Amino acid sequence: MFLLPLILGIGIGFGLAYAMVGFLAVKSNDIGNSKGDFQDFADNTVHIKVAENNVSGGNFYDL
Amino acid sequence: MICKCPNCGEALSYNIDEQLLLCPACDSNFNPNDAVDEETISEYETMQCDIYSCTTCGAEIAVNDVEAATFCAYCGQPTIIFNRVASQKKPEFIIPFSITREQAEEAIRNHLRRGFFVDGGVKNFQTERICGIYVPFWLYDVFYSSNQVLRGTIKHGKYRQTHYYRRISECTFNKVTVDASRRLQDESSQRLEPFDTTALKPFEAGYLSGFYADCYDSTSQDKKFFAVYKVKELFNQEVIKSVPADNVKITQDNPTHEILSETYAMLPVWFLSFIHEDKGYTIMVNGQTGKTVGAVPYVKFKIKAAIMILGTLLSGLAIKFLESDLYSHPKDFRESLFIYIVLIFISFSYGAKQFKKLKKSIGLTTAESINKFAKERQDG
Repeated sequence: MFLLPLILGIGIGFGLAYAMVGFLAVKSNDIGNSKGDFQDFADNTVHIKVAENNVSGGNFYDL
Repeated sequence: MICKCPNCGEALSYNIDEQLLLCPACDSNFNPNDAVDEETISEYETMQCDIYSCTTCGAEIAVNDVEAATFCAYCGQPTIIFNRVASQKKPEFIIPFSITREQAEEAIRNHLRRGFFVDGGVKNFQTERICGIYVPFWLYDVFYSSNQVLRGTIKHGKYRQTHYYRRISECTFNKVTVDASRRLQDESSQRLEPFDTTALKPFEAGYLSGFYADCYDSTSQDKKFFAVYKVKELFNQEVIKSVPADNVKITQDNPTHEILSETYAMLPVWFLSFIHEDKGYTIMVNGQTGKTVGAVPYVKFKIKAAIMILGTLLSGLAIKFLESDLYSHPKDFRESLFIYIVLIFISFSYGAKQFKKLKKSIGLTTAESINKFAKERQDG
């Protein structure tokens, strides 16, 4: 009965450790990973001319 | 390209701090706009270049120097053969360097110093291996619009309901940057973004003095696709944000776009190359903003030790928690079993994804194309 918590515990422990060390390794060794975003290339927001919620998903609407 | 001092004839260099051309011999300074001889400026949007091949190393570079005798910037040999004369399209704009070589070096050192998993040999790189290169870029103004249907989910109590949304939207994107050099990978040059394109200045050859510069080898026609693809990604991200639901996806898309303008510009980048364990690495610094881009090798022993120590600690805590949970609430424990297994799977997947991401970044930093792009200038 003790075997199940042992196996799960090791799995969870080392899984979380692997995830945390991976995150820290990227933070430590990978510099400037990001690309430019929307605000860098557009002065205004996207102008939404038509916004309809809860429409039927099956039809393709023509302009 | 060399600008000469009108007082003493010595080659002028662009000083980043002063934002002027300085003469190292007589300490005179000049505005880059005034330093180029009016008679040599072509009426058309091209500039005459001499393209030559070095007989020793075969390197090919473009210069507009009228000197008959010079030396190869790659191998230092004095024998040059003038191969052909070519007309290269003159850039319309330039962003001059505003980050000095010392500031670029300091930015890189600061990043590497903080890295716990960075190899000690990498932290102490050689100072000489930094050079400033004006990289050719195409800048596009793009009008993008789309008629889209999106699908998202909204939680209602215990259940999730699927909803559909319609959006007709448009946006104009200004000065979308795409690098115009085949030798520099797009993935690497994109990470240098953003450049502040409001600081673009009309191109003058004087700005290039003291730096290297490349002409474009990918036409604007070749690179249009990349600009539209980039704009599409940015546009879709913003439209998805406008939908008040979770897990939003675009199910139908009818986009149109128009390239409003294409501009050829030179943008500043510092390149640092070094060798570590027989492998070449190149780190880049945005010469305008100081953003540092690149990945360096990690110390495997430190990674393994960190996983073992952290894993042991967390395992101990997890085992203690699970044991008490099992004995106090055995029925709940069985129900939670699935959650624990999913947690293990997600943790390992996330960790693997991070290491894969790091490996990919190191691959870009060690790519032969980018190492060659920078290194061949430094050895000259």
